Amino acid sequence: MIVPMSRLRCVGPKSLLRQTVDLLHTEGVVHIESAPALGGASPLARLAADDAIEREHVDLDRLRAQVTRCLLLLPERPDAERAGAAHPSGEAVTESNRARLAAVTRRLDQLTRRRKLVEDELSLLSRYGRVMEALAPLVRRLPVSRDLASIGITLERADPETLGRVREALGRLTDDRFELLTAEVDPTLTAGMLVVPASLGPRIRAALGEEGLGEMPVPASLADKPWGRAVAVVLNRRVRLPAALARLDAALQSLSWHRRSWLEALDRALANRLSQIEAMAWFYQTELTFLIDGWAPRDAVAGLRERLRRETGGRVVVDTTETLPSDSARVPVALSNARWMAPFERLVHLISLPRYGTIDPTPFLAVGFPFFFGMIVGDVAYGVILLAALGWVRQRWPRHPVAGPAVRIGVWACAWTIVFGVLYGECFGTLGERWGIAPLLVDRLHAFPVMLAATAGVGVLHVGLSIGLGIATAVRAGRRSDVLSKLGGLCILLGAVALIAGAFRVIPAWTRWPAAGAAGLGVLLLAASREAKAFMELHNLVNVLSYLRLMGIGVASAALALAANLLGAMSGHVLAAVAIGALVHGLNLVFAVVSPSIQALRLHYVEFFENFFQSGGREYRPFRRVERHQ
Amino acid sequence: MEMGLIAIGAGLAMGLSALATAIAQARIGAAAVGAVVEKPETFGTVLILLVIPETLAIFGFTVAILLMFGLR
Repeated sequence: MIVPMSRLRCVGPKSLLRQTVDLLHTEGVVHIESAPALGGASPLARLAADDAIEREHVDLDRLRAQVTRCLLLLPERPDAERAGAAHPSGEAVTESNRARLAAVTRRLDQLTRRRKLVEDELSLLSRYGRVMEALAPLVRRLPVSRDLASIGITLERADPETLGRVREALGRLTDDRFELLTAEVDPTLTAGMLVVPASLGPRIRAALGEEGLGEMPVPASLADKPWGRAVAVVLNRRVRLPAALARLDAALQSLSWHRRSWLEALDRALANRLSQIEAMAWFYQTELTFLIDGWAPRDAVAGLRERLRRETGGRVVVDTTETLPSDSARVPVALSNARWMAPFERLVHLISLPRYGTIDPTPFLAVGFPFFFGMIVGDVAYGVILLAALGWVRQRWPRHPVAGPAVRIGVWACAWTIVFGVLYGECFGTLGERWGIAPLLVDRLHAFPVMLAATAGVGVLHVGLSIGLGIATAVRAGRRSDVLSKLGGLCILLGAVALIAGAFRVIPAWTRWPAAGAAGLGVLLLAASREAKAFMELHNLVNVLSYLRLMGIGVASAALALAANLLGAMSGHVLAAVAIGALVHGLNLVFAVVSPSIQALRLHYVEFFENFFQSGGREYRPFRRVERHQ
Repeated sequence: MEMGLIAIGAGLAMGLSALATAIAQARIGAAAVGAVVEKPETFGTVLILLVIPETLAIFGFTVAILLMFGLR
């Protein structure tokens, strides 16, 4: 159901603006109108923010950026309580809060900087640890002298021929004044220590890349140490650094444990005050008064009015005006449905909100989507397995904003899957036959004509309902031509269905005359509407055919299940049969989640919504406090 | 012989219409992904546009079924 809205205007003296904004923010029911129709020469002008408000805006923006950065750097607390009352906005920027935030920021910066240094060093050491280990025996053999430079190098895929070429090149560069000691790290990598006169060191380093040799980098803190000492330090640090990293992580966890909740509460308080300041851009003023234009649910207006009267001594008033049909494009839309239907509102949001004053399709989706899903999948075992999977998802992510509604929708879909599984007699396809499960209604693998007729019948009912809703919408809007064209379309649809049913002897032959009469009446009604587009109503006949996919995809799923059972039986061994069956049934189950969901949604979005759904609804976004961290 | 020809006809009806659907949906799908990456709120609309060509496959399926059961 679309919640009835009232247009309201809140007027009061400027001295009470801050108090009024606080109150509206706490009540959280008013959708602020950003472009009110003022009409003609109006004494109203946009509310201009004074210097103090501007400075506060800049200051709070900066503080909030700081808090956001801290929250991003701090590790999560999965066990922490996220709920909790937000600080009243006035307390957000006390001096003690600022000092506390500065202290947390300093400590966090210190820890994250040190952690990054340790992490970078550990990453470097991990890459070259094996090389260092291979070099350690070579380093012990190196002469130690200020006149000599030691360079660590790596060679990829160094066979004796490659090493020979490298020695030749080094001989040319150094006039044979070099020593190269090598050790194999693994079949693709060789480490080496090159000793050359110190004066040739820079030239050799520059030439290394040209000969396809890589110089081994050493952490900056060890760059000035002899290789022997550097390798020993590196190997030692490689052992000790993980412990240092763990200590820093523990310090960050401790900081998160003590400060994260406070930071989140501060973030909420800052966000609330900032949204109040930003909302003021949509307010209007005269010399002495302010005006706030907006929308609120009709049922909430009396409570809002009473609270304003009580807290401002009647000096701030709320005036409501009637919502005209011409306003329908501007009125914000909020959906309100029974608890079991509410998750299906997400499926409406996927496409578009309905325009205000039209029909909310949520109840029809709540009934139709699970029904179609179940009709397509129709297997008891698949329904039970999917239910178990949904239970696991619910346990794993109990408060997830997407998983929660998806699970509740899925439960209904699985319930209908099990119902249709019983009607079709399917449990892992035809495996149910072995356990004495027989179809209660129809064996869909052997009764194609019956299934065709059944799904076409579902299509006729669904499209007929859609046309009926279209007629109701047209009557409500007072569009006579639309009423006539939709009535005409309905008559043609019913007449055509009756003619086809009579041709197949589903109904007595004499009904063909009334059916032809209904179809003829439909054509006359289409013509009476005097609109060329009225003949588009004939498209509903094609839309009915689209529902045959309920049978086509369902039979394909049943056939794949049959194939799984046959393949398993062909293996001749119980364990192999179970493994093969599980694999193919698992694949079928994955298809059973994706394809029926999309097809059931498509039948609603395209064939069902075509006749009555009017998109373009504006979302209801009330001006309200954030109570939970987002 | 007759049954064989019917089976071939049904297969052609289903296969060719499915091929046409696949070609159409391939192009729409590629454009849809680009649109959704830039504007995620259009997901619902592009999903509808993506599945509209499936009606072709349904027509082919209907013809195949009619061939299999109507002409026998």
